[in-house]
Amino acid sequence: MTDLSIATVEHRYGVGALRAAIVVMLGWHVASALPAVVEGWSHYRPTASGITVWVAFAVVGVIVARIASRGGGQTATLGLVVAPLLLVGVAIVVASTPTRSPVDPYSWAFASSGWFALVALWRRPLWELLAFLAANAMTGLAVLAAAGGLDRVSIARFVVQSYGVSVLEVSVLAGGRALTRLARRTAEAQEAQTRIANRQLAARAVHEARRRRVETVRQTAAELLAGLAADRLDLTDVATQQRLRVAVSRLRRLIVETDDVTDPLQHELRACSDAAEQRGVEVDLQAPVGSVPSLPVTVRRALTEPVIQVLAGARTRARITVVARANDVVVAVLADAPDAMDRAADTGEAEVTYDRQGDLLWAQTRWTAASPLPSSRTWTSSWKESADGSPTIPATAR
Amino acid sequence: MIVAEGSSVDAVMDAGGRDADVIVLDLDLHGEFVTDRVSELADAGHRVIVYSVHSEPLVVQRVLAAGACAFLDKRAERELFVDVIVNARRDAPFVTPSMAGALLEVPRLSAREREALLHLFQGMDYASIARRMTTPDGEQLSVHTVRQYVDRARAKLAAAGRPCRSAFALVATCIEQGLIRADEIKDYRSDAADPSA
Repeated sequence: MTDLSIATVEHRYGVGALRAAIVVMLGWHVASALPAVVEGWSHYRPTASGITVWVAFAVVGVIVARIASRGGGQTATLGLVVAPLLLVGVAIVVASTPTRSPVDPYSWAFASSGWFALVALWRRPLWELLAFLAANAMTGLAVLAAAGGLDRVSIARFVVQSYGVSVLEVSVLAGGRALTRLARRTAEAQEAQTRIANRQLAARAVHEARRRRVETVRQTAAELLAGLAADRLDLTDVATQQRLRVAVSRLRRLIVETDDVTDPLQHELRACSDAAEQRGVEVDLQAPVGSVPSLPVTVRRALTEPVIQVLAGARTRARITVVARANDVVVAVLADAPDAMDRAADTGEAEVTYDRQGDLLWAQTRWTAASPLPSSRTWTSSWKESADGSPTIPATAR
Repeated sequence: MIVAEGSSVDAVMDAGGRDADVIVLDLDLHGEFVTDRVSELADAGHRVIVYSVHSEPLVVQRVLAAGACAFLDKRAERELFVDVIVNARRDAPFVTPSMAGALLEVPRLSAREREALLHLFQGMDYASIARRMTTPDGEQLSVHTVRQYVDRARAKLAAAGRPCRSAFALVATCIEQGLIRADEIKDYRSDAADPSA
């Protein structure tokens, strides 16, 4: 699997092929053209024309290489400026050789110009390079004709030479493009594979989440439903009634857990209290004080579980409150209920405290985010708050 | 003694309500929300008690900030009705559970004031709160001490809130009772002016 985008892969291959073309252009100019210039020094007429054009080509080559390396040459401008310069250079060099022929051993520019044009036209359609190579051949032919050397042998040699100096440039440009295209296709194929693999992973995660939900439902309700179906449950028994109420509230909570709402905790508390309200308990669910931070579902379950337990036993009334700060959330319920049948198990997500006030049962769940350690001035009150008001981390959350 | 009653603020005022010691105001008068009349009445020097089913902390905060002496939840706090009126008449602090939720957002609360307000908001009575809170030496707090924590939070809000006659009177009573010191008031006021401080 790749973590590179298709565009990046394509760009890298394109840059690599261009660099190769630049190296060939400059290498050819130094390793092949320069010896011809030096060797033919005394043969050129005028004498300085060979070296002058060689230096001019070198300057043009460096400029063209810099422009192309920086992503330039997208428009026709570079080709339109460089091509005439190259052709003039070719004409001067060919006309300065003793035989005034493109096939003369000292007519190096006739063979070099294609490499310079290749780099200058790197980002242009292939036909522009073909057109330049044709113009190059015509320039050579024109000089030959002007010198009166158009016999059959000369023309045949000229044709072979023209083919020889053109085919490499065309191959490099076409090959480079084919390579880039291939790289892009490979990257696309890899990306498609990655996409499929990601989709499979996501599908597996969704399936796993569904499986867990089904398991929760099974644990919550399966036994009770089986008991009801087999007529084994005594519905007049208070404990059985409470177990059924807890199961109903948990299922209601489960249903709304995936709802897309701004305050999921409040949403779930409302779902938890629905069942109690339906059997006539007056539930006073207070709007939260402070803004509730975003909490994972496991924390929300830990916060609402004691509420479900206490509400299952509530007879006539219950008050539910949520007080939140950035790093702690306290959910409390106070109801005229007997002691909760099952006190919510400590899941390690939140700290649960129960107390009685006459015939009222009070349960408080406090979730605390991992926060700076308590100051040394910690009060030893029942659930410890440091003197500056920031809560300590309950042992369970550490 | 009930001086006047009516189904709109103006009707009560015209029927002699202007001379009343305390005005009990329902926020929802025939579908019309009179939240913005609280500040008007407070500015005119009346002691306003808001009596409503809309006990959301934001609503309570708003009416207290507007200058109401107290908030009473119509559904859950009916039994406190007389106490609230008597204390308002004496310009003494009295905090209902629904007010405790709003007071939790007051700046500069101490940890103990916060804890007492939290339990009061949760619905606990003062005796239960006192039982749950202990001094650094492990001793149980007295109901009187818990009440002081709660009333001090109320005084802080009054000191920082809208300058009106009922708030001044409440702050004066609190200073008299030793709940806050006069020199602390400007700190609360500056906090109110710049809540980020």
